[in-house]
Amino acid sequence: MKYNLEIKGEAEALLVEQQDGGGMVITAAGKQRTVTARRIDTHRLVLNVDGAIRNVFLGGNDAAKQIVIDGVAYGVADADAKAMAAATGGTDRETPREVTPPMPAVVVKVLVALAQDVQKGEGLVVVSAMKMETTLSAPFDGQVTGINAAEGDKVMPGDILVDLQPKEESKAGQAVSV
Amino acid sequence: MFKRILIANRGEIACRIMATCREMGIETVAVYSQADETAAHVLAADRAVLLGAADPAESYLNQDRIFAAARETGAEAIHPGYGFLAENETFASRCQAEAITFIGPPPAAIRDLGDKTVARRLMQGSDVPIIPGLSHPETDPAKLGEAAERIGYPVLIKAAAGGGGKGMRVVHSAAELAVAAETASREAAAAFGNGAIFIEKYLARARHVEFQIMADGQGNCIHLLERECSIQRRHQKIIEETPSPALTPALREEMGAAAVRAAQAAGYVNAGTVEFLLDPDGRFYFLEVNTRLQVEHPITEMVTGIDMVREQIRIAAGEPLSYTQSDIAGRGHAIECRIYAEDPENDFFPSPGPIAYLQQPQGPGIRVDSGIYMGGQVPVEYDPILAKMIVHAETREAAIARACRGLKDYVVIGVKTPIAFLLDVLDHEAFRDGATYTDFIPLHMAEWQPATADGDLARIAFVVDALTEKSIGTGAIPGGRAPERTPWQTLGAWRS
Repeated sequence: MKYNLEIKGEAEALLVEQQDGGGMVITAAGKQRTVTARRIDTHRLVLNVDGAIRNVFLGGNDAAKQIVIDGVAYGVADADAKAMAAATGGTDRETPREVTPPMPAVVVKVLVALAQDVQKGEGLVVVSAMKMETTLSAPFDGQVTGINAAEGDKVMPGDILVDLQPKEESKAGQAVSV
Repeated sequence: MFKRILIANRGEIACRIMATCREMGIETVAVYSQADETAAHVLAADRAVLLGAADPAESYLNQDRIFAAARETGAEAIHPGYGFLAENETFASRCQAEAITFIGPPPAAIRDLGDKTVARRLMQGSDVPIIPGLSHPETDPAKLGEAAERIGYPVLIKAAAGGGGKGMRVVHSAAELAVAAETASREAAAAFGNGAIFIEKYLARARHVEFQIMADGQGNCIHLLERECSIQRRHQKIIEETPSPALTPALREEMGAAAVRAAQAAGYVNAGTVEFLLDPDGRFYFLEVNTRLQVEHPITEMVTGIDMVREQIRIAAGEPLSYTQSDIAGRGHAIECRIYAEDPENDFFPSPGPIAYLQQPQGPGIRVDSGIYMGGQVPVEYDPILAKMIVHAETREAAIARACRGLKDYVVIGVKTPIAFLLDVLDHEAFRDGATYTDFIPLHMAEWQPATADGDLARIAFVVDALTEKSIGTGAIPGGRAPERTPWQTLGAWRS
């Protein structure tokens, strides 16, 4: 069985051979490891990897999981599942090109105007969440082609607050909503 | 002694205060908002009263409703915790008017010390050294600019009514001053209902060292040693420790005495904290007095063996201090790590949501003050502190090792936390050397990225999880038993 797993965009292939009587041999990055496992909880496995006991904790779904090992959280995504979703028209919400709040927030101030030219990193909208203010900035040089939020609006992740058209026309050749 | 106390707060601090109340045989009353109907502090109380909607103005800041709840339940005293109404002079005064004891300082002390500019003037009169700056609030950009030129850049804009890092901005040049002042003032107005700001010289390379003081209503005042709180992100403390690696016994005595003088100058009663900045030459300057029980109070409790909430309740009930200064001794070393619902890989943006899985560390020398539980929710409307992990050990080195063990065993699934970031701070050579100044994080952690050492193991775990039964008890070890399951059930998605 083959898996293609991504961490922070870096994919690695894993080859899994299930053994009789329990256990697996997993080959990754040229290294072969013998793995057995017990499920302790929906969110917890105890693995035995080449003789060493490792506790791992998991959340998420079949396509993408948050895996916590010794205090560090890894976001592991199934690249094949992502490819399938993209092929069937799913949108890649991982794009960093959107001007959208990462969590539910309230718009405090819109810093730009329609048709204004902005540079990458320039502040576009100030939002407030959990009593702290943060400024959402332009992911690239561009021109403001739409302002979709006003002071006092409650906004959610996924809401596009400002539409930005990239400066280089030769790039996508089409307006990018951000 | 009080029969019943209402805790006007939520989360970990409300739970912590209730713990001591229960030990003292005092009944507890929780108040809560609609977002907190099954919150930990509600489940821990003897009685609970719904205040209103999630918005703090409708609930935790709503004085009318809180007093109604106190009357309805017959609460004789109110503990305000930290944040919310803890440093609200009107609230403390109204307690007096309603014949309910406020577990904290007198309203006049809150008023005088709550205004950072008034506090500065009080200290000047008591021979307590202060940082060069303005001792009155100022919003006129021209006047601010003049003062900044006089003091010398960099300067720090601060909220006169504030704390917790809100309404603070470092300004390096005149060009940045106007915008910084406006943002700081707006943030302060939102957080404290008061947009007044002032400025001080910014001491970039200093340690934040604070002294815990405790005063009774009979004029006795002592200090409970210091806390070093230099590990701050955007002026918010994230790791605190005691004793401070920088204090000699002589300096401790000098600063401790200054802290007691500062408290007495303000007519202080109950628990408070006098904050100082300690520069690399061993000179200390008064920063402000926090007229409340602080987030980091547990590290003082660990080294002194004193339950500070118990002492607060006793003082509020009219009893004298249980200790004299010569009774106070510190033993060992304590470190606190604050566990916030924040994403360290996304500029520490708040990360609310449901807690799908929780494992809190335990074992020798570990204390966890928590406001969350597995299956609970972290609402978006409040400060994102989830819990505090406090460790106590014989030496600083042992305490650091204990804190690392604790953080590695601290598992939160469902919201993001900065646990990996905290581990890397504790692991940093500068931290281990005790070189902890308030610029620690910008200096050493600005380009921080989480460790990737276990990336391969994470991928292996992903696969094992996919191939292993989700619920325990079916004995489904991969490749093993469960012959009654057909390939149609176990195959899953197509894969070569």
